[in-house]
Order: sequence, then C-alpha cells, then structure tokens
Amino acid sequence: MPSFVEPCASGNVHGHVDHRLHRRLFLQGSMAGAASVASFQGLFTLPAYAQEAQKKGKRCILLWLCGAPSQFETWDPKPGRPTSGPFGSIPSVIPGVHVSSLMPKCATILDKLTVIRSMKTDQNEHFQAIDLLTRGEPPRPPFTRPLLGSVLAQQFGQLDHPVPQFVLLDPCPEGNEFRAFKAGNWAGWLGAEYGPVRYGGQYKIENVIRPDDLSEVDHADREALRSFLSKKFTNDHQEASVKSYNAIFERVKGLMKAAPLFDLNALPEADRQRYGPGTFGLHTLLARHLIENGSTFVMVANGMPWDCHVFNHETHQMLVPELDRVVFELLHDLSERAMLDDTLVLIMGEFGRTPHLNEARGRDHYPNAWSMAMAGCGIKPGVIYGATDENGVDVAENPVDQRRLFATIYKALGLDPYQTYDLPGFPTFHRVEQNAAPIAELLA
Amino acid sequence: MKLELKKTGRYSFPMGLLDFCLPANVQRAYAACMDGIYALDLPPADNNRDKPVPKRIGGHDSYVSSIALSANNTTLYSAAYDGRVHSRAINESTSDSVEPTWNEAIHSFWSWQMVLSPDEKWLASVTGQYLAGAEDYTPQPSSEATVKLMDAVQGKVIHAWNMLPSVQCVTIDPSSKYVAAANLMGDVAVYEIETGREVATWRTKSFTSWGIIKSHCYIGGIFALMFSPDSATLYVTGMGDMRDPMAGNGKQLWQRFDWKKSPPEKIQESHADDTGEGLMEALAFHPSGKYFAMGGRLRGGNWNVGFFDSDSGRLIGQAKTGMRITTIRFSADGQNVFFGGMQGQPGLKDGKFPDFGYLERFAITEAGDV
Repeated sequence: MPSFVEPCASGNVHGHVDHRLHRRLFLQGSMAGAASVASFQGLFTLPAYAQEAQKKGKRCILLWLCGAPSQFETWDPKPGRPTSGPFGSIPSVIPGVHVSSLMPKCATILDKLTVIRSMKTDQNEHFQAIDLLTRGEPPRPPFTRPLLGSVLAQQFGQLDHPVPQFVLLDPCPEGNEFRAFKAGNWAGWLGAEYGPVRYGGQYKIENVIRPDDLSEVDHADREALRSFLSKKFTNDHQEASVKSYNAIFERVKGLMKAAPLFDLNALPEADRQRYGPGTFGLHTLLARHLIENGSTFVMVANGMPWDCHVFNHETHQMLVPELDRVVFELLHDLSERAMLDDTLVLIMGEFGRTPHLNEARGRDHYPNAWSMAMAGCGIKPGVIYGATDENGVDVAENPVDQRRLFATIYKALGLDPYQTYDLPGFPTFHRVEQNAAPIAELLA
Repeated sequence: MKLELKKTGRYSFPMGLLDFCLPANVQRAYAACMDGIYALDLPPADNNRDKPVPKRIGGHDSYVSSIALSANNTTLYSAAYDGRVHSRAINESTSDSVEPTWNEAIHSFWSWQMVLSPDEKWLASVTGQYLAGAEDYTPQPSSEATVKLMDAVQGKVIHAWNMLPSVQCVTIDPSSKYVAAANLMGDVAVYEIETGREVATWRTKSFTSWGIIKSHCYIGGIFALMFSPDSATLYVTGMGDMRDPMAGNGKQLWQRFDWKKSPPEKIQESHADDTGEGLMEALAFHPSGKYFAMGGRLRGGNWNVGFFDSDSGRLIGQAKTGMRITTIRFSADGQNVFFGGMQGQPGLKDGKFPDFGYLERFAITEAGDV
C-alpha cells in the first residue's frame, strides 16, 4: 500500500474511492501551456528574506468570488441612495463603518479584516479581468506571467512536498469566460510544475490509488522504466515541456500520498456544519485543511455565480450570507490555530458591479469603483482604505489598481515587489511593474 | 379573434415600478416603486406636453413590491422588501405623504408579493430568503412561515403556511376562497382560506434553472400566478429553464393546471412557436375572460407582452414595449390595458439619475380572426 500523508489533527483522513485524481483532466489543467511556454524553474533567485519567509511557512488562501460580486451588497453599501438596492446596511464593530445587512457576521469581525473600497481597474470583461487580478499585469504576448498562486508556490513551496503547493478548488468545470481562463496557462514562465492541482466537481483526486492487482514491486518497476525512458528522451530532446511533463509525474506520485487530504467526508462533521452546506463553504474548509497540511496557496472558486446580470439581488440574498459565514469561520479558525499571522486571506473577484440596475434585475460589470477584503499575514487589521462617492459611481479617494494591490500582497508576504525575473532572452520583468508602491497604510 | 394595441400614454417615475393599481374609473394610478409609493393622475389622453408628475405619498424602508386599492378608493395597501405591510387611508385627491393607519411587520425578509382578495377581506403576502441548504444549493427550509394571510382591516395574521423559500408570488382566487403561492423551485401550493388547509401542492420544473455552467445554484422560478375566472384552473409563469442561469434566456412560458385533480394536472401551456425568451413576471385576465396577458422582459423574440386566447392558448396579440414589465392591469371596462415596469437604470446625468420607471397605457381593439 502507498504510504499516506499523516493529516494534522483537524481530521481523520482515509482514502476514499470517490476522491481520486482524474489524471487526464488533471494533466489538462496542469499541463496547459507547458508546450508553448518555457520552464524557468529556479531562475528566480531566492533572496534571503524569501528564504526566511519560506522557513516561516507563509501561505495564502484566495476566496475567488468569480463573476464579480456587488460592492453595494457587501463591503460598500450606499443606504438611501438610488444605487443602494433593497438591502440595508448595518454598523460594524468599527465605529462609523457600515457593511451590507447581508453580512452580520463579518460586521462583528471587521476589525480583523482590511477592506479596500477604492479598487479601480481597467478591464471590463471577465477573462481579461480575471487574468489581470490573478497575475497582477495585463498580458504581454508571447510572454505569460505566472499567477499569484504559482509565484507563491514557487517562492514558499517545495516541489518535492507530497501535498500540492498550489490547489484550485472549484466544482464547476465550465463557466464561460472562466472556463477559458481555467484552460489557460497558469504558471507561465515559471513552468507547469507550479500550476495548480484542480479539485472539485468532475475534478476528483482519482487514479492515484494503486490498483489491488498491481503489486508495489510491479508499480515500482513500471515507474523505474518510465523514469528511465523519460530521462533518455530528455537527454535527446532538451525541451522545457519534457521537464514539465516529468515534473507532473513527480507530482502525481506526491498526490498518491496526499489524496486522502482531499476527502471532504473525512473532515469533522462539526466543521462541515460550520462551513457548509454549500460547496463554496466546504471547499473553504478544505482550503484551511490543505494549508494546515502543507499547501502554500489554495484558490477557492465556485464557478462564477457572482456574475449577476440577471437577478442580482435575488442571487446576492443567497451568496453573500454564505460568504459572510465562511469568512467569519475561516478567520476564526486561522486565528484559533495561530495561523493567521502566516496566512494571508484574500477575498475578491475580478471587478465590481454597476451602481445602476439593468432591465433584467441585474448589475453589470464595473471596474471603475469596487471593493475587496483581506486579512492575516502582514496586513494591518481593521483598516477601511479608500472610498467611493455618495452613489458609488467613482472612487473618491485613494484609488487602488492591480499593481498597487499586488505590491501590497507581496510586501505583506515578505516578498520584494520589485524583484526581477532573470529570464534568458526575455525582457526584464518584475513581480510588480512600474514600481507601483505597496499601500503603506495596509501593512502591519 | 385578433387584438390590436395602440399606445395612448406613457408616464415616468423616478425609479423602477414594481406594481401598480387602478381605481375603476382609471383616472389615477398608485404605484409601488423602488423608492416609495406614488400617486399619478392620469389624463384621458397623452398630449406629450403636460405630462402628469407622480406624487410620492408614502414609503417603506426598502423597495415597495406590491400595492392594492379597495374598491371604494379609500384604503391603499402596500408591502415591501422591508417585510412590512402598510394600510393607508386616502382619497381621490391625495397627493401629500400619508402615514400608515397600520404598519405590520409580517416577515423577517422581503415581502416578495402581496395581494388583496376580491372580497377585500384578506391580504396574502409571501416571503423567504434563499439560503444554501445543501451542497448543491437546494434552498434551506425557512425558519418562519413563508405564506401569510392577514385580515385586511387590522393586518393580523390569520393563517401562516410554509413553503420552501423563496416564495416569489401569491394570488387569491376570484371567489376569495383560495390562496395560491409559488416559489423558486417551481413548487405551487393552494390553500383554503376558511380551513387553512393546504388543498393542493405540486412542482413544475419548467421554470427553475440549476447552473450546469457558471454557477451551481438555483435561479429563476415562478414569478406570477393567477386563477382562471372560474377559479378551477391556475396559470403560472416565470423564468423558463436556462442552461446558463445568468443568461436570462429562459423560454417565455405559461402553464395551466387543473389544481383540483389529485394529483394536479397540467392541462395546457403556451405554444413554443408563439413565444420567445425572457423572464415573464406578470399575468392578468381580461374582464371578459376571453383572453389573458403575460408580460415581462424581452430577451429574444418578438414581444414582451403576449395576449392568449383562453380556450386555444394561442397568441392573439402582442406588444413590444422596450421595458421590463412587472405588472399588467386591464381597465374594468376592458378597453385599455396598462403595463408597469422599468427600463435599465440610467447612469448619472448632470448629477441626477434620470427616471427609469414607467407606466404605459394601450387601447385594445378586437379585430377579426387571427
């Protein structure tokens, strides 16, 4: 039998036939772009502070509110204004600061969170905006910048760790524009080995359990043969994609050990009750579990339900209370486990939604003035940064674009935002371009 | 029979109009709007020069979702997304703000819809917040009753029934003996007012979407229902099934049920070649009972208000209004039909948000065969 990873005390982990990696789909997700983009594993030299951060085990959970939530129904309500929508606002634990009445739990812990109410970006379509807000830069073909998750997996993770360093939890394999994004090149110039392991929906952790009719000896022999042939092929064909492919095999070997960590049914029922019953909540619980057990970056998405061009209020009545509860529970658990100081939690979508309603009861895409929240590692809690005008139409003070946001995120994690990628034959790229400054007021 | 419609008036309101009601002489309209309750004096004809201006005569703490008027034009009922039902004493010239004579907290969440019974004894209101109740986002059962019947004099709750949230529409039959309600999941229930018994319940799956792409949750449901004039059958409409719940492209669809059969039986529905796409959220029978109207938002096709022969179910008239219709009312004499609703909310212009709620009046002419 393969040796399973011993889980942390939060759950009794056992193998489960329903939670196994579907290798073909896994390869689809992880290998996408590997053939077209070179792997530059190791080219990003680790400065001393990054090594220090690695020792500290910094990590990140991104609650990716794909489709883009309404700032009016979450962090930036406008009571009494024509743009407000039907939901009221409630006072938070921070004097003078209100949030949507759909967020009563977060209102009580707003002093643990930091909210930016003045996000202002320039991409109005999902695919481009998701790309922008997960990589920190617009595309510059033919070069592909790695996602935040890939950067952190490379900086803080260990390739030989059996637990995947970058995990995407999402039950929805499609999702229109998000589907195209998911099929894209996640790790960019870092190489496919820093791409995510995907789990959720049709993405099961399956085909990593050694069949009963395959002995350990036979399994080892087959792997030795595959490795031999691979090395021979690599020697004859010095292609980055071959390296990436081999890295994937190494990861599958790790997954064979880590598969039980993905068994949601093995997590304590009390935890499932607190986070569930919806998939988004359960996947957030799983993210906590994976982070506890060695993952570096876990991105929790749920299709793109926030894209409420129709039924904005009718959909937010359900989604926001779930988000409210899940954020509350996650921060509570990370704090209780003394993990919040080393774990950055990001809560955001790709833009906001229009102040005005369309004819279909919906709010449309709106990058001009929107909100996001964060908490934990390196972030000063209880700060409400920036503001929009009385109707939420435009940013009134302290606009924040994706570069300043990413500079702040990297700085909070102890990474140099201006570090250059030393890529042979490439232009000079920085983690954050144009010397965009981190937001000092948000840094602990 | 074929219907021809001619627009004879169009009147604007500051914000979206979610419901309206008319006295028998149709010289006024009372509107439930996102920002309050309005009275509008209706001229006999629209001269496009002296447009009447709606007067705000009351409000709630959130969108006003429903409004109803007593036959003697002296009591105006309203319900809102603040979960409250108000009663106001008014007269035919009320144009200032009027405080409610009673103001009852009926629900802890929205009143999605409220109706007055034809005999004016009862008010029925429905509520329910859609919260995730399972991994697949099946709605969580409500902790409070989602269908309530009140006496119209004092607003006291007489009956409280529980349907799965969100219960989005309610109606009372012409005999004032039965209440019917329907929800997000396509559940329909009929309750007997005298006994409080649930006398029929069934589910039609034609109006609800679960997102197999984009979002794994339920969206849509039934948004309007009405009894036939003889109370024997029940019509429902809403957002037809969509593969992508965020597309808004559900089929324009009505279904008619014989609710007294056990189990209730679907006996008629709109013909596919008569309909297009878009959320339908209004139903109304013509006073003659010969035909009815269904209206809402046009997403694809030729019309956003269709008129259907009550026997054949075929389309006999149509209108394309360029707005989302939330309510349809026929004048008591059957010669006019009114549509209330809204266009998309415009952006700020010169520091103000332009009007986007509308009430439109059309004259009906019955022509020859279709």
